[in-house]
Amino acid sequence: MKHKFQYFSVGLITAWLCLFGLLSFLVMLTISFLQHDLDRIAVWHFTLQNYIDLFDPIFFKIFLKSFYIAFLVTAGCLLLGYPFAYIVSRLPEKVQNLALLLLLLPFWTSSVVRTYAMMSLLKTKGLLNAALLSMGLIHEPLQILFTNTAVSIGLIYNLLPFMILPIYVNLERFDVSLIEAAKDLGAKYTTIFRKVIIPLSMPGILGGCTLVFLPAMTLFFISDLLGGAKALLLGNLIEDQFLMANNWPRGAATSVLLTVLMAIGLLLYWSKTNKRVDYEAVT
Amino acid sequence: MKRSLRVGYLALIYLFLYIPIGTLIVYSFNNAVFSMLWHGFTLNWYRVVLQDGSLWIAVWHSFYLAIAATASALFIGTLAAISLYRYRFRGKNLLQGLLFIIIITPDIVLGIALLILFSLSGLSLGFWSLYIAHVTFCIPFVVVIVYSRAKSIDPNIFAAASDLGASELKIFWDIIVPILLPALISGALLCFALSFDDIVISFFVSGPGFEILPIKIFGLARLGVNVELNALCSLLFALTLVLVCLSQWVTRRKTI
Amino acid sequence: MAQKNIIEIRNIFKSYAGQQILDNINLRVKDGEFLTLLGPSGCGKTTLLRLLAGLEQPTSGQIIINGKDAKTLSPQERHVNTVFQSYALFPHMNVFDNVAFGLRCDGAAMEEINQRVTEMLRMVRLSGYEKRKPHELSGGQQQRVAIARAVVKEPIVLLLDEPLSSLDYRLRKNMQIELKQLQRKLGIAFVFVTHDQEEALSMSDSIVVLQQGRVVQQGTPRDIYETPKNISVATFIGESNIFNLFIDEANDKNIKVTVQGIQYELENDGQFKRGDKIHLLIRPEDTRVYHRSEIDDISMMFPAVVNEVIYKGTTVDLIIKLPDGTLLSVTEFFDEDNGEDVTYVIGESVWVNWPIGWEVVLPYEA
Repeated sequence: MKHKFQYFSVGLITAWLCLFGLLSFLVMLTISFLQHDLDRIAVWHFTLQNYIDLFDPIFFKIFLKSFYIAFLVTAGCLLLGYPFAYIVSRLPEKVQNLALLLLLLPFWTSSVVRTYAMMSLLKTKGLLNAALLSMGLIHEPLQILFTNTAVSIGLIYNLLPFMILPIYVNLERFDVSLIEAAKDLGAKYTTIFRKVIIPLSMPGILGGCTLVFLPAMTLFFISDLLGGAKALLLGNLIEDQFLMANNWPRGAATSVLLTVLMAIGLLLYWSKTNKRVDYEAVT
Repeated sequence: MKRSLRVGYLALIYLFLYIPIGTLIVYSFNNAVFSMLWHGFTLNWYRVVLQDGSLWIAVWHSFYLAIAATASALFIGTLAAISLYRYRFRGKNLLQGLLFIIIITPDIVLGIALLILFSLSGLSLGFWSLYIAHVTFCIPFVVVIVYSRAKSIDPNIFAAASDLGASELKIFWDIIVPILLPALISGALLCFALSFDDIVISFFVSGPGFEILPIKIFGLARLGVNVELNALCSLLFALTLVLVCLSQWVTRRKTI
Repeated sequence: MAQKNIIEIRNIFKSYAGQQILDNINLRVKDGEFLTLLGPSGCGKTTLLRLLAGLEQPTSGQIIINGKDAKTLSPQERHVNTVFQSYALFPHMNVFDNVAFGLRCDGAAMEEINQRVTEMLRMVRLSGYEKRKPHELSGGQQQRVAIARAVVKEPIVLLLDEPLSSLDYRLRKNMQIELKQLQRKLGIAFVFVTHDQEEALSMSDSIVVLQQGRVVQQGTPRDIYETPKNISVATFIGESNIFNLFIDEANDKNIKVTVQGIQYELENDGQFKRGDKIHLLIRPEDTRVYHRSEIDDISMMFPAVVNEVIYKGTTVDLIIKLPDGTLLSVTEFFDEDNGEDVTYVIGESVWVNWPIGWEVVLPYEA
């Protein structure tokens, strides 16, 4: 009984994940080393060309741009999110739960819906411009939609909770007596913040940055909606290779590169936080 | 920091989060097609949405895809989590490794990897390709949620049950399932939401024959802002609100 | 004593991943006795209990339960039930369902279940708590539910795995008495696991001392306390003042040893020979101290200085220092009839002896 149950349940999930997880990744990896062909997915001929292509100035510029935007978005999320997490973590417990619920509520709706909402807010005849005009802060409507700024705002809007939650979890477990001890030893509030609170919440900050930076390079639909026709993110590059240029090997190579970057990022994060994170801690 | 400053800061962030959605909802009642000026209250756009047959087909598709994916992911993931928790077996590391890979891979990479696999194997893009993709990305969430709940169970509870003469089957149905129920419910809700909302993966593995809601909305939004979409998005947000409140209520009742 | 052996453990070995947990255990549990497995954590006592419960199988050896080989018995036929250290109550079931669980597994009839569970809850004084969930009960109440849940199956032996360790001191004392009374009322054998020697001494009919997977000594609490088999049992159970000495002279009946420059003649009950190295143990309550004014003859006493005085209510505990720097513990009981002066001042000189024959002599172990 015990063995049948065990074999069945373990076998089922292992087979599923091997087939649709592992195998599909291996196929993608293989394709990335094959030659591009217009009529078929790829030609059975080994080549490194797809990877060399990625250093072509056109693609390289997209890489840099995507990095730049991801960096801006991460910094923005951190600046907005850290104080939020800090304040919430110091609230009474009941209020804390409510504050978190309110934070997460919009995120239960589709990210497309949220991005669309941001789009209608930012458009030339949108509410933001109307408000700024009526307050007399500007005299001409600003062209925000279809700029890098719009994409960055959209990304921050979608990714903010991924920054806030890890930091909050870190600060919430934080022993208040440490702050009291520092006060007792005569430290000023700013000193306590710099020397005690920030260093101790470092794992949360790093975790949040990882969770924001990496998706910020891939969420192609946000840049599609808010950035217009320009390919801004690595995600758009991949999307284009599959749907427009129909160059699957190059798309696969870009994906492999993205995965490698991701792995490097995670390894850096683990070496910094100096602990082995088991898989359940990632989500 | 002063109290008023703290409250003010929180309020600002909440404004940032809610103003876009709020605007959307308010303007879904505006009796004008393009203008940002208020032209009077109307329910006209909701009537248009409710009468749009192709939209309802997309909603129906999304709904039953989410139900099917949730049920399958819950089944596979729960059994796996229980086995991971209760037994030591060879290949445990392999399984954990596989789950870990799926969790850390960017959605877009999983999407295109599956697209390539489906194209090569000749599976046409439609319900089944979406179903497989959704089950695959939901499984790790179920395993993580159920496993972490299971870990908090005192292992002596199983020893006690079998000491009192319970069979493996009775332990499963009378002990494990009831104790894990809150985790199963939150796992199911999360899977449903993930599947119903997913765009990145679905974008690559959906085909013209089987349109789902997020893809449909994405397509419409690409064409620009329109009032009908405002009404649709408002409806979806209202639905989310109801579901979240419901889940809060259910989990609060169940954990006590 | 015509009590039969309800459990017999024969040559049990158990190892995990190459590590020997139990090393040739032989034990008998008599019907109706309160037997305690006592030992430090990691000595194998919980493993032994789990083997008895059938939750694990021995690597080799045999367990006989009520005359039958345990290997051939299903959990139902064993009639052995367990109270777990963490109680392991089913968190999603109320008190009634927890207690009824075992009976339902046996497929008992509804009325019988109702009647037996109600009766059982009355016995552990939990009538009226049927509908409560475990987390709505105090630690002591949860404990009683755990006991009721096991006892309602009418086992012939009840196993208890450190059931009192998570209760606070006062509650633990109360539960010790309650458990002992329950055991007498039920008339079944209890096998009780603990690392608390005081608990073991006060509750048991018989104590089995386990160390590193072996039975070191089995006996009544009094045996174990007064005649420990070796120095580790002696130091594990109660406090002792220990002198490491060589035997000056020995014959069949007596030995002579020198303590603090004074030669004592003691009984030779361990076939000691001249020149053997020994431990001489004297319990603190057997160590006597006197003011110089209280005694005339100091020829068989040695001097010491009071180093610390600890007032404990019914006793006064002293730490005294011998001229060579050795520290001894002394427990003096207040005894109004005796009129002995038990007022001591730190730094004052006292004279020390012990009633000859109350000491324990054990072979030296490094």
